[in-house]
Amino acid sequence: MLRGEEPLQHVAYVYDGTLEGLLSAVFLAYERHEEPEDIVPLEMYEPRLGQSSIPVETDFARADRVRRGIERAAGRAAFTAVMRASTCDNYETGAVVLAFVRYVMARPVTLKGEPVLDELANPFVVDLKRLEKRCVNECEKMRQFVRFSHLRNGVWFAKVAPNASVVPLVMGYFADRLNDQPFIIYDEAHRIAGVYDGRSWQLVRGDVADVPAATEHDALMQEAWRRFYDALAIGDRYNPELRRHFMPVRLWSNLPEMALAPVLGDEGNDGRRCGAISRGEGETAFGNLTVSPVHSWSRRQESNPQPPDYKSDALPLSHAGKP
Amino acid sequence: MDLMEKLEVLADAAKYDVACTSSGSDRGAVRGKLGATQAAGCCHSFTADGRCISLLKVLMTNVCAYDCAYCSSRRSNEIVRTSFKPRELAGLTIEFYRRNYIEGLFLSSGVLGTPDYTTELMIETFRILREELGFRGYIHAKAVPGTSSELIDRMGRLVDRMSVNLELPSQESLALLAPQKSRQHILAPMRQIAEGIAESKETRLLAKRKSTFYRGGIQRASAQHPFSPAGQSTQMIVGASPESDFQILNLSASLYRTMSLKRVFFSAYMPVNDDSRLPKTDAVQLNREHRLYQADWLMRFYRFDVSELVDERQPFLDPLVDPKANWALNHLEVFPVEVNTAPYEALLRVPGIGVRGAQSIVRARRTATLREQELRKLGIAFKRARYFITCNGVYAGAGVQMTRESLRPHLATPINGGRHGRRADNALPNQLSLFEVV
Repeated sequence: MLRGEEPLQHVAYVYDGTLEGLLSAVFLAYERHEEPEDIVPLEMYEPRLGQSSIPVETDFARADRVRRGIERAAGRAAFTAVMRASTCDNYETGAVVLAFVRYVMARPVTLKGEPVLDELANPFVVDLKRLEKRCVNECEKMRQFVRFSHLRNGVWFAKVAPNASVVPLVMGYFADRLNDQPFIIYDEAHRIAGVYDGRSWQLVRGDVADVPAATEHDALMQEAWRRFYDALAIGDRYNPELRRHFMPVRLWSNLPEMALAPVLGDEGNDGRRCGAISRGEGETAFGNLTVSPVHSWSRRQESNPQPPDYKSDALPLSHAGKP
Repeated sequence: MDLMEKLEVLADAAKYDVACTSSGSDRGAVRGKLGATQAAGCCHSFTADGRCISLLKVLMTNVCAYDCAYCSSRRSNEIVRTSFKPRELAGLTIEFYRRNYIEGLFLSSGVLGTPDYTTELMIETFRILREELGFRGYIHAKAVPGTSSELIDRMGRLVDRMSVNLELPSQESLALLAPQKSRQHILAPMRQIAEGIAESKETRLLAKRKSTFYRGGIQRASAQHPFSPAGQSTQMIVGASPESDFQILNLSASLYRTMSLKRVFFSAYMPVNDDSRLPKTDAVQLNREHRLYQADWLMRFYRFDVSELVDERQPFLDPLVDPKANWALNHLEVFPVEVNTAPYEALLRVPGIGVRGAQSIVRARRTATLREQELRKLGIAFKRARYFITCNGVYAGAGVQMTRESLRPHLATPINGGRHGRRADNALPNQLSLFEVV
């Protein structure tokens, strides 16, 4: 409760980026009877025109009160949704969570029996579910595309760059599955690392520098994986849009199998031309590079793949892709 | 030949086997042992043709005693032939698994000498993985047709999923294109796997039930490993032989019914060999394969019966309109359905409303009346569905008559504005081949 202070009109709450900070900000909005336009972490904050900002102090007791309030009003599933949505990097995350909490606290008694997350016609629920889905999808991408490499000191190291801070949500999965190898998953976008020492896992904030080199056997296994990846592609079914749909390009930088193969001359979209590369030849426009033999077309990254008339029915299949 | 080169040769030979899912098995982790599986499966990478890589998919050996016309590893082809040793393949699987490249191993094989000898090599690999290295990840084994039943049983207790390829949809085509594989040699293992799975499930159910009498025999059986817990699948080649979609889909439906398969995979015929018994075209029937998969999904998830999709008068699926929309166009008397009151099965039949869409409609309508603006936000293809539904009594497909001829162009429009699906062309009928001798 504020004495002698009017609630501000255009205000943003700035918190520290953690879930507890966000819940403290929600608590603060109720305490000050204010409707902040944005609730954002400090690193991301950009003030709107005429907007003032209020820093939010992270208070675990207040965060816990908000959590218990949500669970009492709408059940544990609702809080889990809030927790997942809070990991997203979107600017509107905080505002969406606040709007959802306000709705849940003020929900009509007639709807008490129905789970709040089923109210798909309600815009607050829809917005929260959209963010939750984004988080869940990012967790799935982590399970799919985290790649470990074996370092000389015995630790298995993986670098990731997700668009939601989901390392805490997937560490349990990897600690179960790879329970006899010590590993580190370093999230460079959020500067947080999950460390598993063979027994239990924990989170560490900060940058990871001075990563030891990988073993030679690891380099061999990476090369074996690349060769396997290239060998599996079937030229007649070449479909780079489908691959991009399932495996977004933003994830390719940490995947050994998508390491850039050098672009050779003008081959347009015809995957078959690259099959003529003979084993071990190195002369390319970029100097002496070892080109992975035969199938390196499968790893090419095209910036503008489509010839103008690719949909024309007049082109027979065997000429597919040639402009 | 070193491991790297062997891997390249044997992965290249295995790539036409499209059954590569890692789903169906929910094995938890155990401290001290590497690995676990999840029931939904997990794709770890995607090839340049968009197919998922979730397992280390290789052949044990590409030496083969058989001479199937369509296969790149057939006896009469002159290619590099090699074989994995069981221990090095097991080691490679573990190395890839530790790096989170794969969910597990998919092992098929050419026939080295006899089917039984080949199967024994595969069993040795699985035994090393499961018993020596304690691997708890996913293993999918392709049984070699003609293997004896004791080896099938032994293999089934080491792996998560076992399958046998049907290869071709009819006995005549099989006899023509794969003369060494008899239909009996393929169906007997399939039946044995189906029976093994059913018996294993029943045994585990019985063992779980509490009872007051001594269950000596059943307890011993439940201590055995479950037989192929993730079920069974199969694969057939589409386009190499003249069967119609009617025959293929009926065969599929009867396999689902009698052998309780998890999935039937269709593989569009890829011309790799020059053989007089094979079709003389280099066009790949990708659209036909796509329509068959859509029909397969309708049978498994949308509760369609196969007779609703194809019949003797129309033995092929329509290439321009997907099977669900085609059914809707032929049964316009059922539409429009009211989204606020229609049962779930009726909602599933609407083109543009899928399983997820129907489930979210059923959930959302419990607390709110769905009008057009709410329905648009629910994640259905409203542009397609609007001709077949009413939202709280309001029909939004105005301007188009409810006849087959008027609605067909609206449903035949390519999904997502034409960018959906493969951008290369379809196989055109009467297409000349570069290899045709005139």
